[in-house]
Amino acid sequence: MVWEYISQAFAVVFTPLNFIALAASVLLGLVFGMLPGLTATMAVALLTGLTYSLSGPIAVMVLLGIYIGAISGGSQSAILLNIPGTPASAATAVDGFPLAREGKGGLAIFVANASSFLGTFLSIVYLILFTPLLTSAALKFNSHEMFLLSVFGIVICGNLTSGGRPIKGWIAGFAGLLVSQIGRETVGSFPRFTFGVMNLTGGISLLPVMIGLFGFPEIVQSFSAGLRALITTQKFSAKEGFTIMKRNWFNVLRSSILGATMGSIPGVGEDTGGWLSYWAQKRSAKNPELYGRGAIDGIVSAETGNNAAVGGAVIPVLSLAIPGSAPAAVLLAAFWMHGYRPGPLLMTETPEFLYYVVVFMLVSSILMWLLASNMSKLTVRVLRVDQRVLMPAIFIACVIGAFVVNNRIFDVKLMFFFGLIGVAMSYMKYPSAPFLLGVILGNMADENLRRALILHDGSIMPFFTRPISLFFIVFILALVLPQFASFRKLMAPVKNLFSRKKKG
Amino acid sequence: MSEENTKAVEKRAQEEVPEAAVTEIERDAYGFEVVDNTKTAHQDFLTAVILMVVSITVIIVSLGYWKKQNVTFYASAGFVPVLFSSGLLIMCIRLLRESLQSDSTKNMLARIKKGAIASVKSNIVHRSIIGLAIFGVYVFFMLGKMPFWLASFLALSAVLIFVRFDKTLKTVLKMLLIAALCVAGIVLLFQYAFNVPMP
Repeated sequence: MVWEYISQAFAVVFTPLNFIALAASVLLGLVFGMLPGLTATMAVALLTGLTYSLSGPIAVMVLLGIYIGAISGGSQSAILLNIPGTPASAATAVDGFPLAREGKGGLAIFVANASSFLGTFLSIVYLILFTPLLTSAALKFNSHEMFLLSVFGIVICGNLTSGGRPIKGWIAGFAGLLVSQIGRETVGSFPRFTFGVMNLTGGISLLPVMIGLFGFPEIVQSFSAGLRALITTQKFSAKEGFTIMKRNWFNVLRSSILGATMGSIPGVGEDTGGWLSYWAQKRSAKNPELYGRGAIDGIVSAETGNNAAVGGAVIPVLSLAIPGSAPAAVLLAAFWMHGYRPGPLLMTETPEFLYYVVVFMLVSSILMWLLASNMSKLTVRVLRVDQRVLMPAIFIACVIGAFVVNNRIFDVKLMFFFGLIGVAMSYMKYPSAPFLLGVILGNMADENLRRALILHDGSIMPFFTRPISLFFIVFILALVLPQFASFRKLMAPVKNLFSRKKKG
Repeated sequence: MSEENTKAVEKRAQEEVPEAAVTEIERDAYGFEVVDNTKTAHQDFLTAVILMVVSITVIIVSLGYWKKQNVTFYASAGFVPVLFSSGLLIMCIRLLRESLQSDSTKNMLARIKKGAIASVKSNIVHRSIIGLAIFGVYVFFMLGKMPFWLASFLALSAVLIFVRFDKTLKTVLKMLLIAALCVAGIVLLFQYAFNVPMP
């Protein structure tokens, strides 16, 4: 029966017109992902309306295609412009942009595309094999774990991006958490920090913050006199790219597991998948100090991680009807719109659906790789344009990106405001990524912490008695405490003891 | 990473940052990179002070929410902002302490003043401020008040002519043409191809 469903799905994909539609949707996703300000969520949302008249399987195929394309496409602008096309590609920019500045943008994009493909492919394997396992693990996360997961995200991101001064990364992260508190809170609908401004009651939209923080410093830099295009391209052989991928087999495997796990946890999403994978790779690398200066292995981990989160995010959508990420939430709504009922009854009502999704994702990921690899030649050329001309034009695209979220000029003004903050942060040597992550995770942290405390009459004991929660606390402390001199002093004898044993 | 790639990255890093910073990275007892904080100490001092004021303000406002709601503190809308801003305050105090360890308050203020004067005189800062001002006028005064294509064309033309100004009519005309093509391309792509509403 399973093979019958799979062959049916392949038959749907390889009908000529459907195949063209899938290729076009993947390409559209890549363009959406590549353009700063246009996210995967927006791409899936915009196309959902256009697929209304299509039959269920074709609509699902097209939407999965655009989702996979958009998450992968974000890496191109992250590498070439240092502006992540989607938040999921922020970790890619850390090493991608330094490589592009050295003329290795083409190779970086090749590796990013291959990693994206492998990440998606492996996540499809996990989707089939580990759905029950990951779903049960994600189900164990309650409010305590969700709150700690947010804090953990900020601490990790702060550590990774601060260039040796985690405190500045954490400060940026906590500032982002505070920004996320603006607007009506989710527990009691009480308006916070709105100061009578009606437009702030709905909260701060993520997109204007993201575009402002990441795009503005680059745009402002382009105003400087005498600045010519920094990006030069050198030819690279595909063999070199494949050698890098071959060398990184373990990195790919680990990042795909981490990404898929992060994707399967509701509310966490692709960006955390990318960051966590990058962090794991940096921690295990022989030369961690080279990360952030153009270590290509960093791109492999970030891109594998964020694309593996796509498959991971679909797991709870299918099995629990709970989206793992924002684009997956739109995807869930689209599934409903087309008559599918994801959730525990999916396998009894529409057993073919899981296999359809698997086949559609598989073909989409192959198409994504082929299209993105060919498109990269074009995007690399785009960057030969004088940045003083290119960047102001990108600003106009950013204005549209900020506007389309809620169709209001206020968001464009917000983008400008956060852009100024981004410029100040760049000047003062504060990383922007933890700030953005703070804005993303702030509401999740707020809602879950208060819910956890309300449910236990204000007791914090469950944080220490729940195993997963305790695991997070230990992990957070392990990252934070070593920054304090007193702790290092305290631990010095233990460290010396171990080093003596090693020498002995 | 392979040896070849490692060497390439190290070579690039040596070109980008001072030699001393790359050849021998100083690490503390726990293995963390020891960063020279003295160069950015005045910037850290300034941001720490600003963010401390912000945190204290947020704490006061958030406590006001708690009073207003009349519920248990942990259930109030002000609880988490108090928690976050307290965390931020503690970190800022630490950053302030670190910056003051490298220099005295008096010297720090003098460095900030010197930095501000240097920024005022800097040509790069002037160009950045003028460019930002043009976009500021575009965002706050032109968008929504005139057709998007017209506002964008005017703003983009102004910025492009400003950044590429070389006192020749040819360049001005070239920049006007580029601006017109860019705006037309963006409008065609977003409004007609993606069906996205324009501001």
